[in-house]
Amino acid sequence: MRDDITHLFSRRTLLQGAAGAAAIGGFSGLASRPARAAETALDVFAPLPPDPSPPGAAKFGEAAFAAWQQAHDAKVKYELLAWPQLHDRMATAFASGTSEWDVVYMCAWVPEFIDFIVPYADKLPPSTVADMPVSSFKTVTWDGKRYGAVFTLSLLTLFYNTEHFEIAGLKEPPKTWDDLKRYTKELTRDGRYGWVLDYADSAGIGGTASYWMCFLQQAGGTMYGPDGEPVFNSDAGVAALQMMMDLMKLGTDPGSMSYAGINDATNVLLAGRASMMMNWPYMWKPAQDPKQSKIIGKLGGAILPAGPAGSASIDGTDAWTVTATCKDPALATKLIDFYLSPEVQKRQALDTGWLPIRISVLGDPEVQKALPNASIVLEQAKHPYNSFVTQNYNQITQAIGTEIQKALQGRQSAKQAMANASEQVTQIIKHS
Amino acid sequence: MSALRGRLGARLGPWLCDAGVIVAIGVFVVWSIAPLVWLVLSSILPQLSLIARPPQISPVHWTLDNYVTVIGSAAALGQGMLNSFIVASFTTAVALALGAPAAYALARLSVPRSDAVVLLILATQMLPAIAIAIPLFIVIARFGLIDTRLALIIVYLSFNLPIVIWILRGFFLGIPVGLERAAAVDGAGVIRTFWMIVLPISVPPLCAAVVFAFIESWNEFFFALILTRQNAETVPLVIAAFAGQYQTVFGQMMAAAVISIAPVILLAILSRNHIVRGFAEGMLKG
Repeated sequence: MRDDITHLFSRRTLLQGAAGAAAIGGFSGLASRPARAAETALDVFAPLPPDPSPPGAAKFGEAAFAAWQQAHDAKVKYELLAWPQLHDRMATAFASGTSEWDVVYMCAWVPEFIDFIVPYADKLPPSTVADMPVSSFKTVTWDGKRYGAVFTLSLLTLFYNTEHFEIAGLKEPPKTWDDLKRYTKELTRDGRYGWVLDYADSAGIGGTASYWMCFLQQAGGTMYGPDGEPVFNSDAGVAALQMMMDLMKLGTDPGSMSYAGINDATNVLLAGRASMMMNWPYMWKPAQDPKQSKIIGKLGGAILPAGPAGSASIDGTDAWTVTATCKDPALATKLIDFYLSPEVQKRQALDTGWLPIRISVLGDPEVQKALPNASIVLEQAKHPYNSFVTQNYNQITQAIGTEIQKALQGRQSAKQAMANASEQVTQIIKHS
Repeated sequence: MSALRGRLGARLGPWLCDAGVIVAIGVFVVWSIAPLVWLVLSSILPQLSLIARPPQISPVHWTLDNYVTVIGSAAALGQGMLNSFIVASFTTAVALALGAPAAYALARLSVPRSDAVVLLILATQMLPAIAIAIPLFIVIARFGLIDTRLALIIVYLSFNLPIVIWILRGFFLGIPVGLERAAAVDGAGVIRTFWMIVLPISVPPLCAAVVFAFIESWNEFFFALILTRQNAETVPLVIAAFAGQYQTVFGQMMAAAVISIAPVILLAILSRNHIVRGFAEGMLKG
């Protein structure tokens, strides 16, 4: 056997292998790219489904998409990438000045990439804009100009296991922070936990800092003062973190400190191992899928419990933007308007579970029946949902999130964490 | 009594020593193989069994559904594997073709400050990838090579070639000089000696270098992410696509991973003896 192997890897075979590889490479056209379509009118960079993706990329609205291309004599080419890798590819392409995209998906990155996109959203038809929540433009507006259009109303709301509530004798979802703490304690029993979330990733939308921002607004606090300086090291900021720490002690799944994405925490709720969490609207659909969920028919929803200042949330900020190098900005704007059309928005909601951003479609009885959480999200939208995105959003949330993690692990007090975070954020802003 | 204890100790000593070695090796093997076993196990479990606590791993839950789904939508995986194979094979071939003569020259020929050159070659490995990402991207883009396999081959060569040189130089240094002198007496020049004498006895380190370069190229993620788009996408990117922002299909991801590591494992199994010898001899003498 050993001789066979020696023979197999003789000098000759190694060199033959090298030659073979060279031949494969040569015949396979190493440097060639399949015809970079001269006829392609628009290049769209978007996440891979099941994350929020456009029609024709995700399985919805395909016929309407084909009809739109035909009607506009346009060819739309999608470049899809797994969501977690979007930012890095975008950052490299933009920074090197070689981006070929016309329309780009953004998630809280509008301020960061402001030099590479254009403020097109005011050119959308007034009827489209009028049908979208005014606040949805907040995360895509910079220096008073609208650079994007959010295409799905994605706010954090409360999800809970109705069966666990029944067992614990809880008749309705928690409405206040005190309720939430009491429920968390009461639901932590029989090997399961009252609360679960993902705290391992500190930065970005869906990171630990962004969850704290919900509590911050519920406590009546805000991130920045009128001069742009951080003001979150306040009573509200400390109370928000203290609330998270209290939940941790009262019955948060300890695994929450190692769950690195919302899907990890979602799986715990779907497996029936936790009773409550805050999550994005998309969760509703997988929770009804027998292949993924053990709590079919047992999922309840409500707006987030109110703190001293009321309920509040953050925005997922999934938006379409037009690049500064766009070949045909007018056509790109029309394409985005098509993505926002009632017909496409309705199919988006019904076929993918991503809620529409258009208020009229959110109120559509068919949508509300298929996605009972639509009305909850609409109700949540009546309360503040600022995600506080800035040019240094990732850096800032990284700094805050890291301090919050230390506090949640019991390594420092809420007050100390806020003081440390504030100092770091001040430096980040100062040096930007 | 003490004599009896001494005899017992003398008998038990080697036995305890052997037992200790066996236990240590056993722990190491389990430690090394456990992730692979979990990978395979995860690939044959449905999502619900995976998210249960403890995970439901008994055979009654086993299913090939993940493989059926992955293979059913195999266009991306197939294309990714083809791209990875071409890129890894070509990178390995060129790294070997350039690295072996370079290593021999640095080991045997009177290259001025050869030790410094070797250190300099190794120093190129000390730059973090992120530090050169943007300049590299600009250069590759200027040459119109974004989303081509050639771009990946060029980049992968830049970090595989130094390691190949390092491994092979170490081995070449250990070859008895007498062999080459005898060849010289018979009239062989440097190239002929290298070709006819040195290379045939260098199969183990060559194999080690091949496996190392191939695996490095096959698994590389960061540069593949920024330098490719849809056409030159390699296997690691295809696998990463199973993990989204809101949902990760663990079973399918693991099934795709099992399929994708098969060629690498096959290569490693076929050349395992040479790899061990090659790395040991190359690294120790380097």
